[in-house]
Amino acid sequence: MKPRTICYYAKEASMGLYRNRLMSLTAIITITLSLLILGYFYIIVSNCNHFATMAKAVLELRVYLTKDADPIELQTNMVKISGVENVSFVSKEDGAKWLEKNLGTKDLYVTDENPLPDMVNVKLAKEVKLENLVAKLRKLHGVEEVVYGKNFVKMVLMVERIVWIVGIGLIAIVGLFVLYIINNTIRLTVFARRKEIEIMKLVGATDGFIRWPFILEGIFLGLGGALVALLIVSRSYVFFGKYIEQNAPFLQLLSEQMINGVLLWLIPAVGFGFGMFGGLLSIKKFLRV
Amino acid sequence: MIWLGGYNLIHFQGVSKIYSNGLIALDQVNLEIEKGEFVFLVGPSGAGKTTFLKLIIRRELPTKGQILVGRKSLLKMKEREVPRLRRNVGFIFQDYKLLPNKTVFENVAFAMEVTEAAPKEILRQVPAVLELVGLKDKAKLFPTELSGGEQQRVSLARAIVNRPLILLADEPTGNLDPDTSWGLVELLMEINKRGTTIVMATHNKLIVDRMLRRVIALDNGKLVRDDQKGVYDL
Repeated sequence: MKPRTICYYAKEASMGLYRNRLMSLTAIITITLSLLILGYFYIIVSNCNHFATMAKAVLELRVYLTKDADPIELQTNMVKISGVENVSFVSKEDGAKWLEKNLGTKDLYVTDENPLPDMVNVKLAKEVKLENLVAKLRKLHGVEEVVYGKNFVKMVLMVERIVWIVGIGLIAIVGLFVLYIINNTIRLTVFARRKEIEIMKLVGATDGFIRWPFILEGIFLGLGGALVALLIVSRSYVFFGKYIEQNAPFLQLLSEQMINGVLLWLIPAVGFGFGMFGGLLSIKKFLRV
Repeated sequence: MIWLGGYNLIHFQGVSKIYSNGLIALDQVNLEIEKGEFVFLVGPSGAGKTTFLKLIIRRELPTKGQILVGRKSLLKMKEREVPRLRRNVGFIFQDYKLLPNKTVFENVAFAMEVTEAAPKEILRQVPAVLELVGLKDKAKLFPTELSGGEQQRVSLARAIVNRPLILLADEPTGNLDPDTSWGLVELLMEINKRGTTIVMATHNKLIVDRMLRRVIALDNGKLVRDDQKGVYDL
């Protein structure tokens, strides 16, 4: 493709956009909205993922021991299990002190006897199959019960799955809508120029030559929408990040660099794809001359 | 007739065209047109003249039969080869089909631009063709500022700017007065002298009778007459 030809395509495409500027604007807004959904969808899913990983990473299992357990032997056996980073023993006396300190009272129990069991804290390696590990720990002699933040991890994973399903569905519906809008916008240009297209075909223009300005018009629309969406998503994420930092500092969101790093190519790429496909669709019918 | 080429430029063998609505536009047409010929295509409206021309540039494919243009079979031709065929076959219409938002120069240059011709080539070729059709001074005007005859000459300039082997004209004088029509035909004769084969579908009895060229008559899709020095009707 010659540079001169590319200039011609770009000129024709911009003219098409300008001629139907109201419709073009509508198309860009629609694309922006749908890419916003995509952007936020990505942010939510990746943060959920992040939370789940983080939750696993900071997870400590608490293993309550039976009364007849041998803490030393048990700990030696525990560290042998893969996925266990280290273990620390908390005697029931230490446990009682911790409780007294945290609850601010000394009258913890009615009887003189300490009802707390001995306990071993198990710190996990980052990559670990939680369920398997717990099952293995439970089989050890002297283990009464294994307690961990199972529900929290489960909840995060469930939220992630719901977001996925809803998000994919939403993106599919909105995607179709976007294609419809782009298709209609460019079809206006195609229709306005059908005489020109007919003459082009008659004097021997190749289909590619005729098609490119319209494809380019679609790409311009897609990228235009992408640019606006990108600005809004990334700005709002920074804003939201600050808000969370101030009001819920325990929630560690993914850094804006990480999010924007992906969105910077994801949103324009999807906009580009939508635009190109929409352009192709709109010209298809008119090429059969 | 001057024998210029070593082969028949246009070759129809048993060509039938039946449209999807059942209309039989052409019925078993056999004919040869040699390189350099000037052929009139006559017959009442609906006789199949336009279909005949459309088949040559492969805007339609025949339902039956074989068509060769410049030895190439249009039936075997691949879709991507069609543009090359059309660059070798110019076409003018009764309604000119000019682009109203482009000047005379741009309308003609357009036919070269779409073939990705070099700008230098366009700047050389377009004025030359406009001079040939006598519109050099009107290059900057828009089609609406021209008379019908002038518009048809712009369309002619556009049709020949890529130096086609064949020029097809579908009732080019249909909207023109007798004098203007005659002027256009003289131009076509000039172009024919330079080696372009011309097939002109027409209802213009005066012109056909005066020119005494080959006349092919169609009626109801059938080839009913093919005279070397023919007149409009017998």
